[in-house]
Amino acid sequence: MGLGAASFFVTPSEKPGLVRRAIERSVHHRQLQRELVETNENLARANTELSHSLRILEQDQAAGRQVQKAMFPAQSLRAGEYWFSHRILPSLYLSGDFTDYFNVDQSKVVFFLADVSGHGSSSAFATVLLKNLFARKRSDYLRRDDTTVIDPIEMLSLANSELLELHVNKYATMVVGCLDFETHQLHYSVAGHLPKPVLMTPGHSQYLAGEGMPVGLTSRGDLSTRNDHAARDLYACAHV
Amino acid sequence: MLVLMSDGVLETIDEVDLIEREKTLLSRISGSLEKPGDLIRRLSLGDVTSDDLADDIAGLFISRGVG
Repeated sequence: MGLGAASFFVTPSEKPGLVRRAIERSVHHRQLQRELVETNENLARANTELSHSLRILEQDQAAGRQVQKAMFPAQSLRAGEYWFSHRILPSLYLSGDFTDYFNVDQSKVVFFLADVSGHGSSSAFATVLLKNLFARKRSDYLRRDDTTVIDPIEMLSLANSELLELHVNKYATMVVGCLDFETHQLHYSVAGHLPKPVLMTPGHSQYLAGEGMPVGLTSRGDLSTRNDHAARDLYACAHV
Repeated sequence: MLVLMSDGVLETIDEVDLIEREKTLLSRISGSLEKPGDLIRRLSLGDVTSDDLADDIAGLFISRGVG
């Protein structure tokens, strides 16, 4: 200061406007700081609420997963010389893929594998409908001699109607079949499903024939065709 | 053995073309199997978790054999 630096400072009396602007800037700065603190507090509250909602959602999904697991066959099924088993690998908590197999009488097992469009909860709900449909028709077969459940095309047609009636914009590719383990005859139908069923025999594997529209897309009646195969081709394989 | 799988299994194969993926799938699962679990291992799905999968995978296996 002794060297004259004071000469470069502006005194308030010389530039009163500068003092006013400095005060205004200071007030504005304080206001911004208060807003920042308030915004941070709001964000922290929102984050806490979001974390809480996420925990609830995860609990719901985990519960849904347990329910869905209970809908799959509890264990492998032995039917005469044949063994039915399955594996499900979900990409989320809930799966849009579903499979089931069950005896319908002393010589027949009905099975299906479905892949509902999309993933997660909405697709999983559609699998509940399919599970329910097959259980209902099995009951009709046992109690009312209604043979729909052993007719793959009829079952695909019913699945198509019920999915369309849901109005949830969900469709499914399916393979439905009925194995007569006394006569060793396999009947199956494919509804737009890929990959097609694979028949593995010693030294050779091949895709079986089958084509048709997925269910839940259109009300057209000619969804699929019936395919027959000699189940004797299913070569011996140790059960898991 | 009759093997039914969902299309999620095709997502695990690198080829872009669907027909090539189907060919690769068939070649991967071909050969003799001791049990259906071997097929899962052959497809490298033995230890996968949900995070590893782009799509759900379902498999249904029907075989003649011993219990």
